[in-house]
Amino acid sequence: MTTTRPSEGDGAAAPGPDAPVLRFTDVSVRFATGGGEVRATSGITFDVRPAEVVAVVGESGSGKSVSALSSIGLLPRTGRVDGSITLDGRELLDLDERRMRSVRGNDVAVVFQEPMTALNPVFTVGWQLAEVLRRHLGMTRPAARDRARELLELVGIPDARRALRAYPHQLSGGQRQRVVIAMAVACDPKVLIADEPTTALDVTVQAEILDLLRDLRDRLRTAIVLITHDMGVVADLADRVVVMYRGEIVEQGDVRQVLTEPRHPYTARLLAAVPHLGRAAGRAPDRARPAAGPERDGAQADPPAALELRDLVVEYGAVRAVRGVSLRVDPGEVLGLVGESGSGKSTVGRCAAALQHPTSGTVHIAGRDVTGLPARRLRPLRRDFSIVFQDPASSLDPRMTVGDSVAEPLRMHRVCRGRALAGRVAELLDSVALGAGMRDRYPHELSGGQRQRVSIARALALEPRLLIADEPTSALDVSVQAEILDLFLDLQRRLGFGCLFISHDLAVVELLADRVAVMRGGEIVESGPASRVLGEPDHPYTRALLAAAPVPDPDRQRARRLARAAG
Amino acid sequence: MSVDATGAPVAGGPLPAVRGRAVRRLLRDPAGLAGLVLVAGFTAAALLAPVLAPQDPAAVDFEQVMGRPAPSAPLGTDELGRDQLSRVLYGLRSSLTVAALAVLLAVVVAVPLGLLAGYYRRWVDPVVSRLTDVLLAFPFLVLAVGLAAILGPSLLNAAIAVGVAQIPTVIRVMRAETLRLSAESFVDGAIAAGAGDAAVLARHVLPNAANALLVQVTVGIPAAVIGEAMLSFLGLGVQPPTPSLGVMLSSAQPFFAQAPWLVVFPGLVIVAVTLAFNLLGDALRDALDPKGVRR
Repeated sequence: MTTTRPSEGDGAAAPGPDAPVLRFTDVSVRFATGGGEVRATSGITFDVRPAEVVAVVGESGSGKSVSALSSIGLLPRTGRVDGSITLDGRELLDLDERRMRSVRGNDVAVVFQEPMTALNPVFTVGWQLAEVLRRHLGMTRPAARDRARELLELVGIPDARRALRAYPHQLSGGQRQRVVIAMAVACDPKVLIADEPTTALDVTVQAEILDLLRDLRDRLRTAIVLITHDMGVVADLADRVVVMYRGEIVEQGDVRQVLTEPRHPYTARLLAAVPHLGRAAGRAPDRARPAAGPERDGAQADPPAALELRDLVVEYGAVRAVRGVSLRVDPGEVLGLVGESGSGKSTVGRCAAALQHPTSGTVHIAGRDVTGLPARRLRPLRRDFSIVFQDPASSLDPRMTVGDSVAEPLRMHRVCRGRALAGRVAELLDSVALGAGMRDRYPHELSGGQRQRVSIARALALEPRLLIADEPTSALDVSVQAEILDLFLDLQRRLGFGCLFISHDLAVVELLADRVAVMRGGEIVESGPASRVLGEPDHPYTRALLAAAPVPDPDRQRARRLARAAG
Repeated sequence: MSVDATGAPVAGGPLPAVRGRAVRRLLRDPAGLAGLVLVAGFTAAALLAPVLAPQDPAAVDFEQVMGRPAPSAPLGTDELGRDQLSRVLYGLRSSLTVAALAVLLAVVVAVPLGLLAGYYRRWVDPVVSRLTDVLLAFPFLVLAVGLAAILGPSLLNAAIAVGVAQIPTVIRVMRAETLRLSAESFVDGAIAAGAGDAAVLARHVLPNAANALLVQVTVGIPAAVIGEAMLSFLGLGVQPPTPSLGVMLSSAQPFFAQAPWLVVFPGLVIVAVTLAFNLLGDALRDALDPKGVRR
């Protein structure tokens, strides 16, 4: 490893309770690729003090993970690190693999995003924890067993004795992440690197994990490097923030200053893009609802609902994913369907898009009963409804050009062909702000946001009366999400389609939805106008959801946290 | 390290541009390059056998019985004095013909079955999969020998026997690909756009499964070459005097001690052809892997 290092040690080695434990000085990371070297980060300089949480934030590709992981040599072989990274004054970049291994785990521990893959599925939790203790601390078997139980209690796993004997798949996602954290703190590390530790978790579980990290920081005085893209998480946990953009640090400072008075325009833009629960002015007033109250009494004037589900039940074998859901989306209305993973919201969406037959109950779209129709009879009706999926990586056929993808529904329904088809495709691409030059591109040449634009253009090609959007922005960066949501709102206003908008993110739903339905365990626990449900929720679960969603303002978030803890 | 989840290459695999990159990757891999050159060489040799062969492979010359390799006959002559080099070239031609026909048959039969089995899970899949299991329960060669014995010995029948023996593997590959691809949201998207089953399979599933199929074909050919050689060796394949690599091994067997070159050269060619296709197949698999991490 070549290291070009600036003058070392000015104060780094000075002992004292507040001396930085981990210090990055002018760190740059390069990767050798087929096409030459690519610089992932450069000039990264920041430090972390004991019992301090430093959040490294940035969007995907900003180099935030690479910077932090370079400190413990967890980069692919093609990576080269220059600069200096010191731990308690000791240079880490000079260490050989063997010494680095003892740093990892003993001094610096890592918690990754996906708790399932971080644990070995064929060993019990207790065995894996004890293994770490025996290997790193040389504990005996019984001692390691006892200590493993203590650690599980430390991270707040109820009935630790039983959890020791459990295999990872027998625990919930939140509990698995607790086990991973227990493993990470097993050797009392000085620094904990948490790489998107709550991204794969539901908001209520996320809140618990963040509480746990805060508690460990206070009790063990562990310094935490928190890598995240979520400004709410930052506001909740961080003391200081390092903002990264395209491999460089654009701003760093105290969390309050960065989040409330950002100095760098990028930080300001990033913060402006974050949907802010309770800040959306409510969009309902400025829109004319086609099907508002008064006309309702005249039966003939009453247009059929864009979507009406009655007593929908879906069973997978013995599992009841959806237990009697009824909901209605009026023409031109956006209904936000909110819920955590496993609540059955996506299954409801698939039934609404007639991609799945319900076990019982009925689905009416634009006044027609589509329940249980055979595929052949359903096909002509599909003009009236379409769906946008979550994952931009798999929602477009990788072998089809953008133009062909957008044209597919028009071709399938024989709406137009030849020159008219080409014209319509250009028009559709234009409506989602993609140039005509995009037409011949393939999905892999597009960014995630561009792919979602294509998906939206395709879904709107037949001017449907109902659009089902299943978490269309949750895989995107916030700034991209903001653009897509703007575009979506604009199109919805212009075209007036009814929309079932499925999301786990309350702030996003608040931006878009006229009405909100909250799902839990396959049932709708509460529904009503968005301002009412999100403003004055009736159901305790809705209240818990709202309380758990962090807002990107440290002071408000602190107040919310205390309120949540109090009741 | 893939930092960007949304920008990561899509699982479905090869897109024209990616395929261009895959070709470049293949050529940069020494094993892949070697495989490609050898495969091209053997194919050219087989196609051009009538031009390249110095002698008529059937021309008997009793003056030259079991002649050692010499300038006039670089690979020696056989027990009837026929030029071994010419026979190897023509033998390669019939062996590769059998292999190509066999793999073609397997693909034509197995691809639709695999697609249907992977897509219609409820009715077609159990039937096709159980039949596949039955075929797989017989070892490849036993199945091929049995079929060849029933059909009777001929080049075409050898191709049918070897091809049928390859069907279950190709069905499995196609079925697995179809299962994987039908779970992708673009398939649901196509259904939502009004595509029928045929359109989904033909436009979305099959093109995305082409890579796996391509790899399977490159791996199937050497297996078929060996299968042909074995059938012919046992007298169940290509019939003498038509040369094939297996026929040559078979007829040289009694003379192994006196004229080892009669066994060694056809044997070496079989090994080299098999190796070449396997090298190419392995390298193709790596090159087409969209995650394309170089080791």
